[in-house]
Amino acid sequence: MNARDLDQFESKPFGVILVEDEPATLDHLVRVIESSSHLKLLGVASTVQDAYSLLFMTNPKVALIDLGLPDSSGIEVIEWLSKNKPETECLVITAFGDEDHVVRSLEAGASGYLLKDYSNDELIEHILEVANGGSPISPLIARQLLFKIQHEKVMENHHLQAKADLDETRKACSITDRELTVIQQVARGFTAQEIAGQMGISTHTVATHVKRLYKKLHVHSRSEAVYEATMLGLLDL
Amino acid sequence: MARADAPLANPSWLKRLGLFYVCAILIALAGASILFYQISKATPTDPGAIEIKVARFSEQTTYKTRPPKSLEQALRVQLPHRIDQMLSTPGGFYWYEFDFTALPENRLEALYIPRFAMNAEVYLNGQRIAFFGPMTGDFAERNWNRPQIVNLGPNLLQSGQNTVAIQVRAFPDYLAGLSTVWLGSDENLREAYRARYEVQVTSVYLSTAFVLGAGIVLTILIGMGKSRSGLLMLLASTCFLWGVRNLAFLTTVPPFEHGTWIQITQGALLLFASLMVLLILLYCQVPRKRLEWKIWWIYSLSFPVLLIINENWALRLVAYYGVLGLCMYTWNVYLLVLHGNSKQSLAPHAFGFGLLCFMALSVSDLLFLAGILPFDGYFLNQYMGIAMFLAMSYFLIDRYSNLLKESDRFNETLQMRLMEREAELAEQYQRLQKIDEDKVKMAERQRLMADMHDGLGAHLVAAIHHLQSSNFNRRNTLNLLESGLRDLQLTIDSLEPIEQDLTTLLGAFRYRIADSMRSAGIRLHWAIDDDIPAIPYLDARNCLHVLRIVQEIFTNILKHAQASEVSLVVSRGPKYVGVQIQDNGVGFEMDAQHPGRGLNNLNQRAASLGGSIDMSTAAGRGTRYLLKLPLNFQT
Repeated sequence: MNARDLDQFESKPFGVILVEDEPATLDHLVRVIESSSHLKLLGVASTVQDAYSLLFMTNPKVALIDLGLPDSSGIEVIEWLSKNKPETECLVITAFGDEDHVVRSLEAGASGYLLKDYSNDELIEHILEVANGGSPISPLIARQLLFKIQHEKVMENHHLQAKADLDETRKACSITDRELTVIQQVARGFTAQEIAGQMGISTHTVATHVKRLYKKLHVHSRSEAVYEATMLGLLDL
Repeated sequence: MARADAPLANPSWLKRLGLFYVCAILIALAGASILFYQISKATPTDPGAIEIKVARFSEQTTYKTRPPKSLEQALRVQLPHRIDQMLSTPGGFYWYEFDFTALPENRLEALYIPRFAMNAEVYLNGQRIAFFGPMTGDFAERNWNRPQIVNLGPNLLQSGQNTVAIQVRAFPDYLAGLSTVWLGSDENLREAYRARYEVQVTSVYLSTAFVLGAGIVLTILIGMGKSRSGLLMLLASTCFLWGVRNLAFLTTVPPFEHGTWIQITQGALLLFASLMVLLILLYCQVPRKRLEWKIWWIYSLSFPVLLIINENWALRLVAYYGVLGLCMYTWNVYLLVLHGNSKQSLAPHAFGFGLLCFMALSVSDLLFLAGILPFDGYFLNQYMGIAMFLAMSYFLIDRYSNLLKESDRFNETLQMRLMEREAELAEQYQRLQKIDEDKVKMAERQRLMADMHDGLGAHLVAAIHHLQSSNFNRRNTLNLLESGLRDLQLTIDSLEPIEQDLTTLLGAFRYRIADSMRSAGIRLHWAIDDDIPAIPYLDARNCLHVLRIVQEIFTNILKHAQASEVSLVVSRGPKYVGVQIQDNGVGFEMDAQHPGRGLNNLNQRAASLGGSIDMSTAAGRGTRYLLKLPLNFQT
């Protein structure tokens, strides 16, 4: 998603933290972030434990998180953040954007991902987009979300028998037609601007739709966990 | 035969065995008490009734129609009376005579004869008042087991002294004699007569019916093919033989003359005994070489010969072979008990107990036959029909329930074997599937390796060579590395599960190149028809073909076309999906003879997808590529 006109962003720089254990990537990203006047690096961590300590002291707008950390998975940090600091946006750092990792990160509450081979401009652009409430999405991720939604629709019928308490979350999770159209078009390679044009809405609204989808995915994955826990008798609702 | 004492250690078996014998003895005692009760009723109870225990006796060789005069002076004999040499006489006529005084208060109205053998006439005061069976000729009416009651007739009965004479016809080598006789009131004597008749005749009918019934059931079972057991056939035969043998008791007017008839009935009895022994030897699985079998063979082969030699030997044979049979039975009971213990089964014990009872009754019968027991006694082993029926029922039930158990077990094992087999098959199937999977994986791995070798590997090698050469420049090296990376990205994208969706594949590609297009200042027009169907053969390998085709076209555009706008249109044709990529760049003059290596590559890739690629260009008019992907291509 392209948001070239950076001028519209606020002048106050966004706080960013970096959780990455690979020194080369870390150096590269530190350099890129420090080169931008819109971003302010608040600290770096190379393990999950370090990340918690760092988050205890700082309150970043954006957290860049690598998944393969030495002590545990970055997913843990994302989950912790989405629960305890929902205003912090998480971006997953990944080499190739393989959809499996990315979708799991989205389910954990991430807002998107950064590819390691992005150009410097692209990196800054993505971080700023996320900081401004946008949600970058690629066709492959959209395709995966579509598949999940279709799968959920089938599952929905099974869920009908579940406890009434879960209905609320399910309603909150259900995908609207517009959201569906947006990701269908993303999956076919259209950009946010093009989709906005096709649907007669602003690019910002397109971004909102995507963002909402991400949230629903996150909520849904949580409600599904709750549902399964209930079924297993782990939770007493 | 297994040692009997080892299984005896099982307490539950001992308990069952004990319970069985208690029950069996109780049943036997109950049967005996019923019998003795019935027998006790066969004696007249009226104190006015007179039992005649002494009579004048005379032997005659010819049949007389009046009591001979010599009888008045004849010797007195004790009743019941049997001729001692009965089994060697040629036959004849025995006269018994006694006197009695009839007073009006005595009510002597009838004469009750509990037993006589075998045909007889009764005279009162010289007048014949009753006859039972023919007194001349070969034919014998078999009245020896029938009690008789005779009304004395008020006309012939004189007040005061009266004389009764009974002429009994003796058959050669057969029972002959007279029991005590009774005089008394008609109703009292008839009561005793009826009780005796029940013991001697009715119960034998019942016993025979039971046994024949069991035999018929067995025959039906065998006939239906439900059981092919030789033992059961033997059992059925013994039942029928027992029935034939009982005809000797039941039939008064036999279908054959006396000699033949006793050959048949006594022969049946001997054969019955032989089959019983055979049955038990087989049942206990006695090895063929043992002495028991030799004795049995001698027994079974000798009696028919003897029986045929002289028809009149039948009764004597029964007596001698009866003793031999009893000896064999004794041993058989022992065998059955051992067998039952080793098998821990009650059926042999039931058999053995039944046989024991049969032996006890047979001993009594043999004593009777030998004249040791009084002539007005009873033949008892006929009652064994009932015991045999009970034992046989038990045997059948036991066998049947065993069969059921066995078939259940069989079903269980069948089920288990089926399950095992199923599991085996499932495992085999899984193994085969795994082999298939491994093959597919191996093929995929080889393809991936080839792809990376040709794509990324080639670019890296080129970059290294370039860096090693003296005249390298930064820009070219960067380009080589970048295109290597891009190829790696394409390879990875081609592995994404896009489910044959061409539009997503192209969308992913667009996402990858968006930045370079933007940097080059090229506007990308993206148009995709709504009804692009899934392309069934679009697996990872073919995805990579498509991606590389498009990649090559876009690389050409970026490198050479100097275009400002590029459009990509995906549309559906009748038999194919078309991907058209057009730029507004400089274009070039096509050399028809040398279409160029790049285009060759594109054509090859398109061909391996079953499609084709067209290129049209002219200098200054941009370039247009059209990739056609068939909808129904089978790879």
